[in-house]
Amino acid sequence: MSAGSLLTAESIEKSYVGSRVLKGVSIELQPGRITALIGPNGAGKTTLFDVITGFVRADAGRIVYQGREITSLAAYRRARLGIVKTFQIPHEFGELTVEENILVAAAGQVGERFPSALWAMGAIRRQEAANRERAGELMEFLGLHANRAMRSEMLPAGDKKLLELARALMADPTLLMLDEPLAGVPAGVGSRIMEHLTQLRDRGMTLLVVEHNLEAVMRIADWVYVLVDGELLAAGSPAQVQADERVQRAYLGA
Amino acid sequence: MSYLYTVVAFASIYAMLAIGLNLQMGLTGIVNFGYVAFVAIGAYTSAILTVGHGWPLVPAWIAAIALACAVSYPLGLLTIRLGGDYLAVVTLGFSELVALFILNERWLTRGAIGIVGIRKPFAAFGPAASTELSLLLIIALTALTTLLAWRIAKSPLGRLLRAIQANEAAVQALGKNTVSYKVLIFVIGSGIAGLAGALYAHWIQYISPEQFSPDVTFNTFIALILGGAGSLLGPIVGAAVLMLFLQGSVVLPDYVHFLNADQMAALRFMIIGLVLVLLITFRPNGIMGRLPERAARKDEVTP
Amino acid sequence: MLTILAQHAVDGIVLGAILALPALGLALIWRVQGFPHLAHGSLMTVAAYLAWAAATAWQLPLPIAIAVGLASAMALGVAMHLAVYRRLAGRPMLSLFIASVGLELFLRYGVVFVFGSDFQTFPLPAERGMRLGLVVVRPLDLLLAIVALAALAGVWWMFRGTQVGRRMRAIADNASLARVCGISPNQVLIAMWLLVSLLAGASGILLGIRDVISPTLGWDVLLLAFAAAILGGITNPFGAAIGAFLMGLVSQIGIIWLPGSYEEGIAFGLIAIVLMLRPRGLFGESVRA
Repeated sequence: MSAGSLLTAESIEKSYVGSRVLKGVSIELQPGRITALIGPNGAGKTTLFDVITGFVRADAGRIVYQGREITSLAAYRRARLGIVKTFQIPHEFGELTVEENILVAAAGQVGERFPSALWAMGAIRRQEAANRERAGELMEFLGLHANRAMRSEMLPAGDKKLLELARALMADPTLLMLDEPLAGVPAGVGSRIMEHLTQLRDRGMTLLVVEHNLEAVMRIADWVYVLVDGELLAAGSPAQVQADERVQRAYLGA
Repeated sequence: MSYLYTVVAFASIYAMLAIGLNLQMGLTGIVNFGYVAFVAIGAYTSAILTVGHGWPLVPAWIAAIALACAVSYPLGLLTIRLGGDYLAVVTLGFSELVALFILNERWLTRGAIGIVGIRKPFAAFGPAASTELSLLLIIALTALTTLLAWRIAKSPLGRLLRAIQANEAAVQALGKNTVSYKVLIFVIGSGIAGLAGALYAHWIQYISPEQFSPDVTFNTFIALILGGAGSLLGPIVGAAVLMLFLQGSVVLPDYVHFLNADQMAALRFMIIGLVLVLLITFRPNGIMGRLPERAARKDEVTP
Repeated sequence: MLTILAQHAVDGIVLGAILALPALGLALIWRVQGFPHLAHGSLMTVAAYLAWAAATAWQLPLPIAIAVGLASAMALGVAMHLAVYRRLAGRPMLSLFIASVGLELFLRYGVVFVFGSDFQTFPLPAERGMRLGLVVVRPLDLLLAIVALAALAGVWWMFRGTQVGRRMRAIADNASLARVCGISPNQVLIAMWLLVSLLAGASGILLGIRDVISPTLGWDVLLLAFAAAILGGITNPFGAAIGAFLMGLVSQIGIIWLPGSYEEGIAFGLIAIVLMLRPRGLFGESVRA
């Protein structure tokens, strides 16, 4: 694996109750690039996501991030290091409003610590104001501003996905991992999201995107991995992958 | 008159318990069925220190809270990692362990005999005044506890705890150590129970192991569900209604003659059980609030 | 020393056998319907009381009285399911759990209401233990252990060999998938409640015969039965049974050295240690991180 990579997953194996979901998958994420992970349903993409973010323990293999091994690091610690993911099915905090959802993601809140939550009124107020401003910008951009005070469980499905994205962005990621960010999102908003992702990349963020909307993702991806049936079928630039016969047969053609 | 005082004192203490449990269950979604264990720890700590070792009241009460917190910390670490399904039963088992300990370690707790002669606060002012002042103290401390709960709920910490209850995995994905926050609130709730236990011991002035059975936890749950978990005033309203029923039904035997005393006592609990079932079936939100709705984990299909 | 050890081991196995029946039921309910059934003890207590009432008040011969007890437990279990738990299907686990708490209170004190709180005993002749090699065993205990083991074997066979048993397992593994395959959960659930109530009732009657009948008969062992189920891994009913035997053994052997009143404490200590090392219990499926 090359020295400059931000994150490498080496030979990841994972089985569930007798079926092998990941059969020795290795991928490498270069910093400041958008990497796409594509493949048919059931190929193991979400499982790979879970292994990288720490929600699932692989049976074998290593994860190395910024030069250090994080294979057995807890999920929340990886997120603190900057690996932030969104969930394929939105995991919104139903009881909380849209704005509250995003505010939860802000790191280093004095008001979340005990006992400072009880009396550090001034500091809390200031932080809240700053965080609210940031959250406001995110909501504006993603078109959630109108519903900022609505209980998030009442949002339509597409907006829930946007909320997932807003929350992840609020957490200030170094490596942003998006699991089907366009699913259920109206076309106009979708293209704006894709544009924003390119901007994030240009400003130095690294992204890993799983997406079924091949047209959209191929346009912005710098590198593509094709995962089929738990194995890497192909890897390369979007043009290379699209031209690859095996890929066309196994995935695009079918 | 003193009977009325006792009703108010008990209602206040149960309200405090319900507030503590509400922080755990209503706000954060921790189902603690061993809550009475910490009430017992608080009661016995204070009783043993004041009666057995001549400690003054305030240090004894602080010790009661401290011990309840200290014991709840390792328990919380162990059980919260286990997750919701196990939590209820394991905590219940723990409260039985505590009851066993109190019963068996006679050298410390006087076992089944219990501890007598626990003095009321303000004893120097004479029995009547001491009763009234103690009641005011209990009410004041309950109000303080309510204030504490309110501050927590309103703060970013409260928001985070609600988020953890709504979807713990998502909070972890944002870089927050959910287990440590849950343990924190577990300990805080247990400390409140410890204080309530100490106040209880010094009000009724005699404690014994059977006063700290799981029924106390159940009553607290009922108060919480009755008034509505997750709301601020819900626990207080629920505790008041529960106390009204429990104390009110004590006078009923005077009017009902065809049942004996045992049966009347049993009937009270039968009604409580029935009310619980009806409440949870038809009005899970209680009178004033919302019951925590955790997503059902069964049948959640992941592709 | 060996004699003492062997004696306590045998006692442990007998205790384990009696606990295994409700433990299996608890694990099954937990797996299929997703909640800890706190009212399980009532099934045991009611069965014991009704069997006793049938034998004493109605003067029925013991086997018939026992049948009455078992039948009443089964009826009660199905009634609880139809009247309460089924209504709460789809609600979070907490709701079902609290409903079972309410039912437990209602039934436990209902027993006091009807039968009073005095202890009762079955009209059986007192018996002396028989010597079997190193140990002394009461014939009754031997019978109990055999009955319990036979019941477990029966359940095992039922799960593997009969259609209703296989359907129960299917629903336990994945309810929505099972529904898609045309397995009606309603009928299977009723069958499940009949089964667990039968097991609980048998256990309650056995306990009542062995010791005394009291309103807290079921409640007193409920926690131990839960502990056994958790030890074995809550997703595995037979793991629960094994957990029960293990607990019985460990607690009875443990009290050789530790104070007898801490029997339960030893059992819980065992569980705490196991859970710390293996959060899924001995035989449970792995929990997602």
